[in-house]
Amino acid sequence: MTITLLIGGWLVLVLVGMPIGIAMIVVALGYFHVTGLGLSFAVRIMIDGLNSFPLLAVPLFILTGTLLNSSGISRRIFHFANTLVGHIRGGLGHVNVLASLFFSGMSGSAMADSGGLGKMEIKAMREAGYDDAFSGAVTAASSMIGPLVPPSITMVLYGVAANTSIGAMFLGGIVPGFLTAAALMVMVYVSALRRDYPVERRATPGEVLRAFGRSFPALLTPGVIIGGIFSGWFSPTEAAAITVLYALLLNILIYRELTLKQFLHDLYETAAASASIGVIVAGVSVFGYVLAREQVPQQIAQAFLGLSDDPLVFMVAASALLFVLGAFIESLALLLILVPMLVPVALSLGIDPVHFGIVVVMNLMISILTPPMGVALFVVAKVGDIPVERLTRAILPWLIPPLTMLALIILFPGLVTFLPNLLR
Amino acid sequence: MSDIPPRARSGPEGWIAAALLFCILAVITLQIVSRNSDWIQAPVWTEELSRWFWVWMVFVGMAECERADGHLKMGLLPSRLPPRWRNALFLAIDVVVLVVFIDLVRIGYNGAVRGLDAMPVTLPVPMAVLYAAFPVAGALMVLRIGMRVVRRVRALRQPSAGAQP
Repeated sequence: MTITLLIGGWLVLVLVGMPIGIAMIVVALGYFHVTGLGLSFAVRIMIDGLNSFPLLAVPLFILTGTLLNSSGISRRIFHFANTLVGHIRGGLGHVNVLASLFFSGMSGSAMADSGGLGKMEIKAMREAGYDDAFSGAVTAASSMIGPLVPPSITMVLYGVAANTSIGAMFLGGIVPGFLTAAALMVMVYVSALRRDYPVERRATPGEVLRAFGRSFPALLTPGVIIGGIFSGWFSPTEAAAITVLYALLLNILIYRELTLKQFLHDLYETAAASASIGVIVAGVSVFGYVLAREQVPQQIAQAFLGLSDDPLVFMVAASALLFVLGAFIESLALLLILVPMLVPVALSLGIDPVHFGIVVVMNLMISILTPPMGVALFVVAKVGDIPVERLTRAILPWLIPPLTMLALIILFPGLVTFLPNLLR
Repeated sequence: MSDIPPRARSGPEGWIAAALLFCILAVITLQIVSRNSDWIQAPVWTEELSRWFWVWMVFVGMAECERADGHLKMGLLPSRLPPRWRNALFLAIDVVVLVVFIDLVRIGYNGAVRGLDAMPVTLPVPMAVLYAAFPVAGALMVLRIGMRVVRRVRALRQPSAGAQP
């Protein structure tokens, strides 16, 4: 009864428009009042929940994405991708996916991809005669690669919530990220054949080399991050700071498009965006305490274990739960609420926490594409000036490639654990 | 949570949060450089200080999100309501959050005062400096929500029901 009141109360507040994190705080404090727990304890829980060094990677990776978008690096990456795959049928669709893959190695956020790179991609596709709904759907679908390939804000939050190595998560996401990109390109090709989209001129080797030279320093970023973490030079949080410094250095020494005014604006935007995530972390800390006090995690665990003790059944059931809830609840909030409850069950069934983590991240990225609350749909609709309803219909077939990849990584854990195991 | 647009595109809370973000970057950079070089002695307080900056950044940024309507939220139902009803609903939510945060400011202040005697592991200032983040930011939240409540009530009183102020 108490659980229904707590979760139901929170959902009602969120649905009527209260911010997600604030609604958690309000409901949790109501519980503290009713049960006579000290409210000063609630404030302490919120502060302690935020007071974590790994969490600092979140604002720093957001800042990197913002800097890349505002300094012309995204444009160079798009141009380089165009010289590589622009000549395949449905060329700009492939460029869209490949540019997202390159960009994901520098930014950890799907929103940085769909909001920054996406605007440029949709404009180019529209000018080349591609249908708006198709362009928007490819852009939204390809933005999900961002958090799969390191660096990844979602993986940082999973690592914190599940007490799992963030570095191992970064490595574990590489193969699924590349496979998802490949699956999306197959989908682009099939759609382009059906729509009879044009074939563009193949770039000459000289053009490819010149475009590669212009984007090469930026493309080194994932190497800096992964190399730095696994050589023991810095932690994932420090890697995030290094990535910001690297993006700044590229701008100052090579690309020279970032002004001081723009940098200050980027800091401002990043601080506000990070704070909105931080409020959810604080809210989840106190709301999670209340749920734990009511033994909700144990009840969830029992419910799952009651289904079956087969790890595969658990993975499918957890994915179904994330898919359904993800259509209605913001993905980071869902991650922070559910992961602490699901990970102990996964561990008790012998599932690798990194494997489970990538399955969770993949599910959450699918959830940003699923109506009615798919955040990527709203961002792409806004930057591409495409009606949300049209995009909502157009995105449905684009769920097939990521869902297929999700099934593959559930069935074949080695696709995820192969790289982390090499370095263990 | 608003139909009511913020008065200015950027607010002082946002710039303070931006400055704190820059401080986080600077402190972590110092941590990396000092640990990997022979010519600077690695300070022990960098990790704790950067965490404190982050806590302050989130809470001050929370007030900026409140001012600029930047919180993560869903709000499926409000968009289906007529403007007057929507404004009334948001007014009710604002009042609830306002009351909760007034209470939290009081509680947070007491918590910060209690932290005056406790010292952190590496920093030479009391824990009260960390715990003060909540009442300070909470007070800013109360201020911003209070201002919006006033504007919302004015909007509801206008004859053209629910019009934007």
